[in-house]
Amino acid sequence: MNVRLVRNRKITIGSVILYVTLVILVFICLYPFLNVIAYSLSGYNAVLSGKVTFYPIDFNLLAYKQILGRTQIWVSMRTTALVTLMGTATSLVLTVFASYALSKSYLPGKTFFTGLILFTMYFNGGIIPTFLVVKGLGLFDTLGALFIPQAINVFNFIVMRTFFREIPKSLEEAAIIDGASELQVLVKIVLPLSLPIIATISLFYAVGYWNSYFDALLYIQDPDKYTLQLRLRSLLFGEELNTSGRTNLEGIGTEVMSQSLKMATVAVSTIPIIVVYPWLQKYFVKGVMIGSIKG
Amino acid sequence: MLIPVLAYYVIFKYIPMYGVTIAFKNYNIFRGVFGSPWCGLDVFRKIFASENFWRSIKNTLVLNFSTLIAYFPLTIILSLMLNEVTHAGFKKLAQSILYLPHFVSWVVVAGIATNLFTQQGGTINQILKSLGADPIPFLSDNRWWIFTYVVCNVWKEVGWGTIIYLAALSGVDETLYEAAYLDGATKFQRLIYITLPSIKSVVVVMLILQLSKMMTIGLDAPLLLGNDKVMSVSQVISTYVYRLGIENAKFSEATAIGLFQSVVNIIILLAADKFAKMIGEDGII
Amino acid sequence: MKKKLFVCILAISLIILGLSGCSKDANVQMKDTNAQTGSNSGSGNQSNGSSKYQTTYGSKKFNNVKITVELFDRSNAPEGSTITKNKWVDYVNQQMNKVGITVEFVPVPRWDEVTKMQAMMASGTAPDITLTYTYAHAESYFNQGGTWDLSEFIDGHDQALNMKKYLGEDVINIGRNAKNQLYGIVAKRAVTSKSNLFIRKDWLDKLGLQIPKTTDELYDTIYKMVYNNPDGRKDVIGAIVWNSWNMKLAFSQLASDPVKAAIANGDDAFADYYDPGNREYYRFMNKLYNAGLMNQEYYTMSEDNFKSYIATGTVAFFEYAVNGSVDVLRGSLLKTLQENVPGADIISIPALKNVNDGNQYSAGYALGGLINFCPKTAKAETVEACMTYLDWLCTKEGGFALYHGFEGEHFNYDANGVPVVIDAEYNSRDKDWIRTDLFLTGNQGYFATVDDFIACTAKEAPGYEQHVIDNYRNSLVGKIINDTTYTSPSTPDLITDIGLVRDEYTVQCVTCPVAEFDATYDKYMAELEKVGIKTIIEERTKYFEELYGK
Repeated sequence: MNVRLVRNRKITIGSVILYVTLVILVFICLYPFLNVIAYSLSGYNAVLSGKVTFYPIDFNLLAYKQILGRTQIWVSMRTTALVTLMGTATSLVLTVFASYALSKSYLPGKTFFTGLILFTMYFNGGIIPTFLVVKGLGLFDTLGALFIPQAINVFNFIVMRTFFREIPKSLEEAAIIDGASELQVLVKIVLPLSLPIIATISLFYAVGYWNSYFDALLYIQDPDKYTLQLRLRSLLFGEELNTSGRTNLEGIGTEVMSQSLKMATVAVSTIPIIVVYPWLQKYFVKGVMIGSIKG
Repeated sequence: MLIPVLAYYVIFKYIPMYGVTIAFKNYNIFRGVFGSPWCGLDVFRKIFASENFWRSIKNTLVLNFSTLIAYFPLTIILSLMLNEVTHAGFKKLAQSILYLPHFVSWVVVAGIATNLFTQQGGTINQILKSLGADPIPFLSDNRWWIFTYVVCNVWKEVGWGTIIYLAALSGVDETLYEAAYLDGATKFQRLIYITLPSIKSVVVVMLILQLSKMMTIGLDAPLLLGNDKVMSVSQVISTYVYRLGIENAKFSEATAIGLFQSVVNIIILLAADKFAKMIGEDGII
Repeated sequence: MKKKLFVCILAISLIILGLSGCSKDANVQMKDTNAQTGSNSGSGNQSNGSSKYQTTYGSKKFNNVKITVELFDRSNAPEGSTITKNKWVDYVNQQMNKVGITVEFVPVPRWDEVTKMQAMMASGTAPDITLTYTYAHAESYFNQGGTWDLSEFIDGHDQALNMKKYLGEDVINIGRNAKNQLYGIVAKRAVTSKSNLFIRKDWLDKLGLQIPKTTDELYDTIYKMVYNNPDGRKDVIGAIVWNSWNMKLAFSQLASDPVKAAIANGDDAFADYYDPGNREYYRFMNKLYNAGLMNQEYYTMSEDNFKSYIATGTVAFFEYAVNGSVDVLRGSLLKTLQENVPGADIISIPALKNVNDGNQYSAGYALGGLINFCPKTAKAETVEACMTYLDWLCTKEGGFALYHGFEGEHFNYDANGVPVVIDAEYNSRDKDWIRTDLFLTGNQGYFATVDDFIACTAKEAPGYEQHVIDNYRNSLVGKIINDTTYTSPSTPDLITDIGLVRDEYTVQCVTCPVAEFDATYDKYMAELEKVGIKTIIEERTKYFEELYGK
C-alpha cells in the first residue's frame, strides 16, 4: 500500500489522461439518468413539448405524489425488498455450496454434476411445465415462488467457482491438518478471503430479484403480494393498449403528463437498488491475502 | 453439501424438462404436453423453411459479435483504469455512476438515442452541421445502425461489466507489486506481467460465457432501437419469436426456436471450452 | 460412502417427483374429458318450454353459486380501496346476491394480460369468466376443446333477454364460429369511430384556403403550409400519418364493394395486396416524402415524439385516433398547443373524396370490443350463473349504474335525458378508475345511441366540447367500413412472415426515389406472394363470398 502512494505523488501525464477520460465517461453515463429525473420533475407543458433536457422545467412533485402517495406502492416495495433479501440469501448459500464443492478437483463425479448444472443453462422445460411444478409444490401465490425456483443462476455459479479455484490449496490443507472439517474450512477460511466475489455475486442476485417481474406475473394472484415492478409496469405501460379510442388513466388524474409519470416510475424502481452497490464496495478490499502465504 | 443444490436442480429444472418435447408436438394447451400428439420434425421443417428465420439468425450473430468485439476489451481496459485510481472517493463515485446506465431501461435509452441520433434535429447531427459536415444517417442506414446499436449497448453495459474484473483485481497480491517495483519494473511492465496474468482465468471464463451466448440476444435493444427501415439488419431471433408469440400462441414454434438456439450455443460453448483448455486454462467444464 | 448415500437419495427423489409430475398432468386430462361429456349432453335445447339454463337476471334464484371473474388491474385504485375491495365490487355483489350468486374478482395486470391468460388457461387456473381483446385466442381455445359452447345458455327464447336486447344479434353473432357455435360473448362498442384527419385551422385561415376535400387539394394545402408557412416557420413537418386508415380508403378501389372490402380487411398487407388502390396511396406518400413534406426519419418516431411535434405546433396535417386532438387522456394536445402557440387551432376534417368514385369512406372498428368466455374448468351451473351475471351487466342497474354512477351523486339528466357529469374529478376518483374493466359487455360505456355517447363524451373535455362533437361527427362521415373479425385458418401460421415483409417494404416504398417507386412496390408484392399471402386471400374470398351469398 505504501509503495503505491509514494509512486503516485508525481502527477504524470498518464494520470491526467486517466482522470480526464474517466470524468468524461462519468458524464456520458450520468446524462440519461439526469434526463429521467428531470422529466419526472417537470411540468406538463414542458414534458409534452419535449423541451426537457437534463434539468427540470416547471419543477413539481406531482408525478412522485401520484406514485408514492399510494399505499399499494409501498406495500409492493416492501414485498420486493423482502423477496430480494430472502432470495439473495438463499441463492448465495446454494451457490456457494455448489461452487465450493465443484471447485475441488478431487470431488468424484465433478464433471458429471457440473455438466448437469450447465445443461440447464441452455435447456429448460419452458414456462408451462415449470408453472405446473411450482403449483404442484404448493408454492402458487406465495412469495416462495418468487425466489425458490430461481435460486441458482448458472452464470453466477461459474464465476464464483472460478474464484474459489484461485484460493491456494496450501491454506486449506493447513487447516485440515489442524483438524478442521470441510464445512469449517469453508466458513472460517475460504469465505473471509472471498469477500469481493461474494459481494459481487450478492449484488448480481439482488439486482436480479429486485428487477424481476415475470415470475410475479405468472405466480402471484393476490394483489397484496404484487411486487414493485409488477405494479409499476401497469403505470408505465397502462395507457397504450386501448383500441377503443379512449385511454384509461382514470383515477391517475390528468395534471400529470404520462411521460412524467413513466420517468418517475423508472426513478422509483431503480434508485433503491442503485444505493446498494456503494455500500457493498467496502467489501472489495484489497490485499486481504497479504501475508497469508509465505513463499 | 451438494445435496440441497442437487435437489433444487432436479425439482425445478429437470422435471419440467419434459416440456422441451413441445417442440416436437402439435401442442394443445388443454391436453397438456403428454396429451398432445407427436408431429415429428414438422415444426422444425416449417421454421427452417422461413427465410426470415435464417435472416434473423444471421443478424443475431452479426450484432452479438460486433458488440462483443467492442465491449469485451473496453470492459477490461476500463477496469484497469479504475484500478489505477488511488483517490478512494473519486474511485467510488466514478464506479457508482459508470454503472448507472445498466439500470436505465431500454425504453428510456431508445428514446434518448432517437433524440441524439436522428438526422433531422438530432443533437449529434446538429453539431455536425454546425461544423460544416454532412449529416450521418445513424438510424436509417443499415451499417450505421449497427454502429449505433453497438455504441448504445457498450455504453449501457460497460460500467456494469467492470464489477467482476474489479473484484478480481482487488484480490491481487500487493506484495507482488512491491517486489516488482523493487526490481525496477515500470508501471507498464507491472501491468503486463502482474496484473493481467492475475486476472487471466477470470477473463477466459467471461469470454467463454459470452461466446456461448452468441445465439441468444435480448429483446429490448433490437426491438426498441430498431425500426422498419433497417429491418434487414435489426430483425433478430428474439424479435422474430416475439412476433410469433403475439400473433397466436405458437408454443411449438417458440419452443423449437429456443431449442435450436440452445443447441447452437452449447456447441459454441464446448468448442470455446476445448480451445481454452488447449491454451492451458481451466475452462468451464 | 457419502457418495453412495446421496446417489440413492437422488434416484429416489427423481422417481418420486417424476411420478407425481406425470399424475398431475393426468388429473388435468381427466377433468377435461368429464367436462366434455357434460356439455355434449346439453346441446340443442331450443324447445318451446323453459330452457334448461335460466340466464336472464331475475328468472332464477341460484343456490349460493360462486363465480370468479377476470378483472384488469391497472394499479390505479384510489387510496382507501383496492382492486378487489371497493364500493363497486360491493355493489355488484349486493345485486347478484339477490339471485343467489356471489362474484369473486380475479385481478390480472392489464399490460400482460395475454401472457397471464395463456398461463392460466394452460394450468387450469383461469377464472370462470375470462376475457381478452384477441378473438383469435378465444377461438383457438374453443377449437382445442378448452372452453364452453355458450349457445345452449343464450339462444333459447327465454334466455339472456337483457343481453340480447342490449347487444343485439349482430354483436352476439361475432362470437359465433362457422358452425354456429358460440364461443364467447362479445362486448358492444358504443361507437365504432376509428380515426380522423386533423389539420391546422389557423394556417388554413391565414393562407386563405378552404378545407381540402380531395387528395390533390390536401397535397397543395400541405405544400403551402410547409413552404409558405404563414408564421414564417422553417421546421414544419407537413404530414404525419400515424394511422393510415382513412387515408387509404381515399385511394381504395374496393371500398364500394362490401365483399371485396371485407376480404381486404384484417391486416394492412391484405389490403396492400388485394386492393390496387393502395399502390396509389403509397405513391402519394412517396410523393410527399420526396417533396420534403414528411419527417425524413419518420419511422423512428415514437408516439411521445409525435405528440410533442403536435404540441409544439410543428405539424401541419396528421391522421390519428378519433378524438386525439382534444382527448384529455392523451394529453390534451390542443390545449398544450394553444399554450405554446396562442391562436393555433386544430380541427378534424371529414374523409377525403375517394379518387376513384368520389365518395367518402370512413374506417370503423368492428362492432364488438372484448370477448368473454368460460373455460371448461367451470361446471355447467357456474357457467349458467356467469351468463346471468353478464345478462345483469346489460341492465340499467348493472352496466348503466357501473358506468355512469348514481343520479345526483355522479350525474344529472339533461333536457334530452342524457346523463351529464356533475364533477369530473370526483367521478374520476370514485368510479372511473374501474368502470370500464367491470363493464364487460360494453366497450367505452353504456349508451343507447351514438349521439348519447358523443354528447356525454363532449362534457368530459371542458372547453373543447365542440371539438369533440365535431371529431366524432367527422369520423363517421360517408360510408363506414367496419373491421371484420374473421381470421382465416392459415393466417396464424403465415401472418408473422407477412407482417415482416409488410413492415420492411412499406417503408422502402415510401422512402425510395420517385422513379423507383413502381419497381419497389412490385418487389413488395412479389415478396408477399413468396410468404404465402395468396393462400390467405383465397380463404378470405371463399368465406366472405359465402357469407354474402354470392
